Amino acid sequence: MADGTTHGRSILKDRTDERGFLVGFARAYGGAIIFVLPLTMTMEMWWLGFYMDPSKLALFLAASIPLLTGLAYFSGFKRTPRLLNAVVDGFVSLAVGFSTCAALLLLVGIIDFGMSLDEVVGKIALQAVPGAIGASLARSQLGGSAKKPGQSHSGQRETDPSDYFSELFIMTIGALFLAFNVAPTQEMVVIAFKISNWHVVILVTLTVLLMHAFVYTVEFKGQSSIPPHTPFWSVFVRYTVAGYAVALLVSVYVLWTFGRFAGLAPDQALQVVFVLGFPAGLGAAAARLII
Amino acid sequence: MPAVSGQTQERSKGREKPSDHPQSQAGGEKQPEQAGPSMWEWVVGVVGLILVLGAIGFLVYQAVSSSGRPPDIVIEVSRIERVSTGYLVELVVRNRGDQTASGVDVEGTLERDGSVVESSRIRFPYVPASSTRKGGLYFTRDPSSFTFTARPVGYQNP
Repeated sequence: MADGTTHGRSILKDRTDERGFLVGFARAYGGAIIFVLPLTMTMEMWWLGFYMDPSKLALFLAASIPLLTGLAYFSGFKRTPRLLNAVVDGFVSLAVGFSTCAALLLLVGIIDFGMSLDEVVGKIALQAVPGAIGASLARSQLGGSAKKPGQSHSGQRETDPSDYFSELFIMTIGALFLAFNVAPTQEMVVIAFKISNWHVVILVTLTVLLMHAFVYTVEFKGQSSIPPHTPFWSVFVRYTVAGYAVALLVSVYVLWTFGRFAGLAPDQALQVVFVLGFPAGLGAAAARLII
Repeated sequence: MPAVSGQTQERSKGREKPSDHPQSQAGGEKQPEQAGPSMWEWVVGVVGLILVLGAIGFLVYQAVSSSGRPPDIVIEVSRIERVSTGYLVELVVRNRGDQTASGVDVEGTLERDGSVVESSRIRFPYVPASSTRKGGLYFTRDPSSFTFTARPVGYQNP
């Protein structure tokens, strides 16, 4: 009896696993499309695809591998996430990201047969990474009730929640995503050049305050890893300020990757970083709430 | 009788919710349920690996092999046709250098006996390295009865 049910269960598990994978795969495409479509429709992204420094783009692609592995690892739904699963998941997300971008860019005619390979590869590769982030999030977040062994009742992240590093990692992803959406456009640089120093001070203060508000919202929702009754300063420094630092570092990296620092005086460069730090910081804080 | 139907019920319940079974029957044994990646995941994962490594390799090759030559704009005439406002000279603009040129101004002139009879110009927002862009110049006179020359006037670094 016991053998019969075990046997039946393992076959079903394989079948549901396979079907579950295909469903998750379709969901991944959905997530990739939603995340990458605003970027696909932004001409600055197309241009960056072909005029940005190819070595910086190569570095970005290489960095995306551990990034997506980590995303699969920390937002995964398995009780004891294995590194191998996360690595394979990361590459699956990248495959989805690449194919989604290629299809969308072909659809809107931004890439075409007969264009030079330099142009085509650059345009697809740059947008493939945000697409892959979307794919990865869709598989882990929009999973709904699906039959995943080991999922807890509330569907929270199964990684040990008091893992500070995983919180910082999630914030990095959020910051990166928003920075990517804002940084390519001209408007961001124009804002940075137009505003006065006082504007920047207010912007920085506002960013930090808003981020902290997000942090407390997470606490109220009970998904936080912060134990209750932690003193305000402890939370503020460890999460809000650290998160803002992460957002600023991400902003610097994205601006450098897009070559936006070329020919800028240091004080101007700093101004641009703080302006980008506003959406990046909010992205970081929101990511903790959402992911 | 009741025992059999009870068992059938149990089995059908198990079929509907296979995830409950491992937790109730396997008890604290969560580790073995954590299967490795399925075959499909491996297949797609390898495709992803190939795409990423291919892209990185291509970009690194591009970065390394590029000699950093500035934009070198070359213009070809692809067609001349009659249009409602006069004549259209279709052009293909090619950048043979290694850097992208932005704001490329192209000027086309119709000359006879050394003097310029008519000139037109267009601007291409971007002409990437090793790539082409298409456009056209309108003239009121028939270009085939004059000497037509097109030349790049200037560009910006993006």
